[in-house]
Amino acid sequence: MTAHSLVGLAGLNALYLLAGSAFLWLVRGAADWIDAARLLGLAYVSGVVLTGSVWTLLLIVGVPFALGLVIGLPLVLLAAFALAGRRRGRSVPRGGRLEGGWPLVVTATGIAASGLLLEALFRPARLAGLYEFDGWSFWVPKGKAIYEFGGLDDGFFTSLPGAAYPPLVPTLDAAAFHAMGSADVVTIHVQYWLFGVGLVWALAALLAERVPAWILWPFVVLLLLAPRLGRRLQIVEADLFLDILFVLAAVLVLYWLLDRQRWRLVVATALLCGMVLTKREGLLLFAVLLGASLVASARERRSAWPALGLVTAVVAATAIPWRIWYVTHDVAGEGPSDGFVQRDRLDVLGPAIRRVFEVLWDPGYWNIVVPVAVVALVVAFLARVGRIAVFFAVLLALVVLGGIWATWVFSLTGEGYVVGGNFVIRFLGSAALLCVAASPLLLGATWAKVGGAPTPRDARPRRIRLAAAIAVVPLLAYPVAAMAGGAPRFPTRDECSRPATADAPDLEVVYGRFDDPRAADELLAKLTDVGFVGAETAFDPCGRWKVSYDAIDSLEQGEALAAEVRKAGFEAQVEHGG
Amino acid sequence: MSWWTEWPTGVIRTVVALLVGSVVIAVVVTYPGLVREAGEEADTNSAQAYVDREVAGGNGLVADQQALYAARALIPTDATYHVAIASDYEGGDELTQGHAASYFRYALMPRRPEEGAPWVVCYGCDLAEYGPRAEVLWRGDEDVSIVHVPS
Repeated sequence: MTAHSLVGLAGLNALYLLAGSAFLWLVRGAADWIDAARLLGLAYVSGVVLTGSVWTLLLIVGVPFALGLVIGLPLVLLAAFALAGRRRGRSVPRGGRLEGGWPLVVTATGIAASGLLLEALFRPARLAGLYEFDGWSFWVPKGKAIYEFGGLDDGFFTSLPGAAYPPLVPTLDAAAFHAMGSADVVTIHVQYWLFGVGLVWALAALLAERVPAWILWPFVVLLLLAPRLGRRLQIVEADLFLDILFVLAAVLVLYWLLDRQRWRLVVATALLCGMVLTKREGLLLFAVLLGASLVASARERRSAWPALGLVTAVVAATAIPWRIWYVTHDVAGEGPSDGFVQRDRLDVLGPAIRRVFEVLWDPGYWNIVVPVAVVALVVAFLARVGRIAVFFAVLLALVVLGGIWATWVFSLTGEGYVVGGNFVIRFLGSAALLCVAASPLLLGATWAKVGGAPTPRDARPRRIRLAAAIAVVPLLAYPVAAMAGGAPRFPTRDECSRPATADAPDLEVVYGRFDDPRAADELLAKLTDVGFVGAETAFDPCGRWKVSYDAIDSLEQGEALAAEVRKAGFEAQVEHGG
Repeated sequence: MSWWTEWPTGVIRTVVALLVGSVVIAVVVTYPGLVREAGEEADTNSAQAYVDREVAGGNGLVADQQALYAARALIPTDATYHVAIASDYEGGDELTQGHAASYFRYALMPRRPEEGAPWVVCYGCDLAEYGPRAEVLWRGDEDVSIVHVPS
């Protein structure tokens, strides 16, 4: 809740960004500073995943998790990637030139619209309480356990719900707690908001390679406006984080299939490794992405499939240590307890299928994301855009089938249960986010097939000043307008102590505040013994027991009483009550 | 005009433009609502009492916020504890019976939950069953007590 927590979190995330930028520079290089800035979102997400995955693997083999490791590992990764990049002959990016014209103005509008929404979403995230059931039930307790005990404490990690879930996200939480200096379960929401910023930046940058700005940006903004996506960016659970990795990996794998730039597959592999260390659904999503990639590359299987096999081997090697850990600690596995195919539950299959499509089609969850993607797919097939359409059609179909299967075999049934429950909604977030990425790519490819030729670049006025004003002014104006209503609050446990300086109807003389209720009772007894009767103890809104006397009519009367109490050797202060 | 209507490319162009247009309309319609909602939620979060924000998902569920803070103050950080809820306990909300222990596990870390632990968070329980040496160190208005049973 404090500024200190926010500064610590900013420092940690700067380390993620640096490590990820060095990684991207090593595997890809950067043509110029514009190019480097465009890919900062992908660099950040890569940095989070690489650092988090290595931390997770170190934790699994028993390396203590302390502040030194939290700060040291990203710095080591940064140095290692930078050195390797130098050896590989990567040059420092220089200069850069923006492509101007109306596309730049549209891009600036999109940046302003999505940036302002992210700013708006930051405000509730900063002081959000931890209300999510799974958040306080097991995700955050796991993070706190790593933070408090410096490792995968057997007692907690084998007994908490979701014990078989891999610990990447709790590890990132623990790192954030170290950076903030405490297990600040309020400010931790900002960490998840930052993951969301990384997603928006990375996805927009990747899509912009192939999608015209006028098609791209409405979808980027729509992502934030879909209730179960944008409104849940700050939720302290692993679902959206998993979806972020899945969708970015899917786009990178598709691009690799299209242009065979190796760095794309390297970065995708890192994200896929993160996926299988995040949730058991990560294994399922990896499998469906692999399936779609194999189908979409069937014609070039000789060149593509060995590379996809290598990716699978790396992802499997990353996934296995955690599975060994939980098996050796007698934790029940990740699969359905009654088998992968449950013939005795065939009666649930129909309702599971219905439930999946109901959820997918519900604009209350995803706005119009899904129907637009379906029409975009149809249009793309009609325009014969080829591999992009095949890839997304297969991938979306497999994700939906995966959702149906999981809903079928994992559903609790019986009185009071809805088939799929909340699980199916969380899982289908991956399908919805995939639709957000797929639609502009499909429409962009379709437009390229049937649209007119673009205006030659050099003929267009650059309009850079206009674009800069459109992008920057709203992003500065929103926080200024928000702060005009009052400076941001940084609540502390001391905020309940409000010394009085003038007469008011709520005055009281406070003799002390205590974390321990017995200490408050002791003070009350001592005060009563020496004749200060009428005081009482009460629990204050800051979580302390307060000893106070509230039959005060004026500040003068209160100050007189406080002086008398102080003369008797106690502490006393006139305050506003409440 | 024929550029938009010729079959099939013109029609496809039209559908692409309509799809992007529908997304733009959805954005324009829902955008102000999200900005307003986020602002209202920020104001609500900011105005919350410290305890309400910190307890968050446990409000209602733990029946009495004070019990949580008393448990933190009284149970040593290296001790073990147990949450006992009488089957006929009627305080709290519909989640209390099934999930109060889970919430305490989260909120009381690094203290460890353990069956038969010397520290007990008692929800309407019969203190006699802990024997004559059981000491009630704190009792709240909602019939929640913090009990120490010396070993």
